[in-house]
Amino acid sequence: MTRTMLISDSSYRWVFKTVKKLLGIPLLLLLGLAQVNHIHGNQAPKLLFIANVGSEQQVAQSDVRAILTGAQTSWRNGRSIKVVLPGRKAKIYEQVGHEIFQESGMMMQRHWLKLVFSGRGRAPKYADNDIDMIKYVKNTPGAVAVIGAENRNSVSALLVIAL
Amino acid sequence: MTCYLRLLGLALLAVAIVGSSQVYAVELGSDNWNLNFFSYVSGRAASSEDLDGDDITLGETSIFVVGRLSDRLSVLTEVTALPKKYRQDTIKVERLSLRFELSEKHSLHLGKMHTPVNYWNDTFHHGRYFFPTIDRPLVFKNFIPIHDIGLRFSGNRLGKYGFFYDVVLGSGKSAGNKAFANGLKSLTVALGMRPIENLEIRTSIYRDTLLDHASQPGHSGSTNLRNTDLRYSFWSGSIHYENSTMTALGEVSSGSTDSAGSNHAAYLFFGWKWRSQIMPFLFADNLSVDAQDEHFRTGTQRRFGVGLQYMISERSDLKIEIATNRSNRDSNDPDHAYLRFQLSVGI
Repeated sequence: MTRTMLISDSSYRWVFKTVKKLLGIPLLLLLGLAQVNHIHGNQAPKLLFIANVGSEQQVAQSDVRAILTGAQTSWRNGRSIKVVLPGRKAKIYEQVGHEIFQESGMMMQRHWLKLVFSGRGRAPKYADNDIDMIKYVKNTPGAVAVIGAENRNSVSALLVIAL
Repeated sequence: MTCYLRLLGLALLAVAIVGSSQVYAVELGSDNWNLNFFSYVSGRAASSEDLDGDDITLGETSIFVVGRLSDRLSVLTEVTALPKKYRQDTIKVERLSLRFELSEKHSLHLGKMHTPVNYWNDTFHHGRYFFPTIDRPLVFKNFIPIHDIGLRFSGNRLGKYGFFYDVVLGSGKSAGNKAFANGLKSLTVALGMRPIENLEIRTSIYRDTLLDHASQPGHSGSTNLRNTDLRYSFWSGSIHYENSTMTALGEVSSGSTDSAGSNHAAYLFFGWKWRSQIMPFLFADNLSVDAQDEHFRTGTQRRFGVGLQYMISERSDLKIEIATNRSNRDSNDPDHAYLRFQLSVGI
């Protein structure tokens, strides 16, 4: 009876109340999530992939993940890729684990250890900070690393891809 | 370790260094070498007192060296050590191979290697630290051709679906550590794909001839066919999936000698990454050998278990399992339930 009255009196108010009651919270959550995604989407990248390769070497975004996870071990010219990853003391250790490997920093190291032991990958180097990683990559042809985006200005001579 | 293997290793190393210096820049430095030790200790409490072996055992220590000899050439060795109490040969060369990168996606391997017949044998080798469960699947103590000496051609990341292949021209099980002692005897062909990043599907066939099969170390069946060579073929299929929340492995295989019908094995593992360092898991393992088989011990064996893996650090982990074992294959292995633990390290 109440419902009939409401509909007949002001159906739009009933609809509004029902929507508010049933869908209000999920809608608010979705809107919030969209806002978060929007903010995240507009955020500057926090990690950079750097590589010491000649200009003739094309590196696609899809190759970056394959290289960092050990699926790709050689460049297109056949030369080996030397990977440098953040070590346990590095500031971005956990961040790289989560963003590249979708697991912790510890699992990133275990992943690589397994890969090397199986004979499929070549042991990466681990560095304690971005400066050491940049230095190694600059001095080693074919080397790659992941560093924090705040060091973008220090890698001008290298191939840089935002992650 | 046979003299032959030592000579082979030295010869490969010499060829690598000499060859590399002429064609590619040799970069022999600490950056190019990697040395790891893996070891473990395990213990058990079982419902049966008739089991062989000790309740606390020291596992084999694996010494693993991988070196980059040049941009395209690398060497890999895995040597295991175990006290005489547990094994006749205290030192064993498990792997010794040279890898040459033919191109970005294709490579050539030469030496002693694990056959790429299934995911487990091609990935975990002798490092208990990497095993998802305490023991290997039952098929390993029976009809898996674990090692081979020969030439392996590999390719991966081929095409949109990440196809890969391995072809091994080998010496066969009968040759032991003597490369091509009886000529080219075995052939392994493995094909697979990684259509998405976390998934691997593989199938393989292996063919070999077991020379005078009754004298082979793997022989455990009847001896009616003494001094007989048996043709041996083996098929395997594997599927492995791992992401940040779970890991799953399924392996099935079927093998036969020309003395009897087929033998079958299946292994299933599922682990749930409950916490970043804790993974509860369950597994089922089944093996069945045809009653007429002349080479392998006949009968069936089954294991079911649940367990927990605690990843203590990057280099150590602890596994605990409760399982049942049922078998009519071996009078020294009565039906029993057991609780086991294994502490493994990798340094």
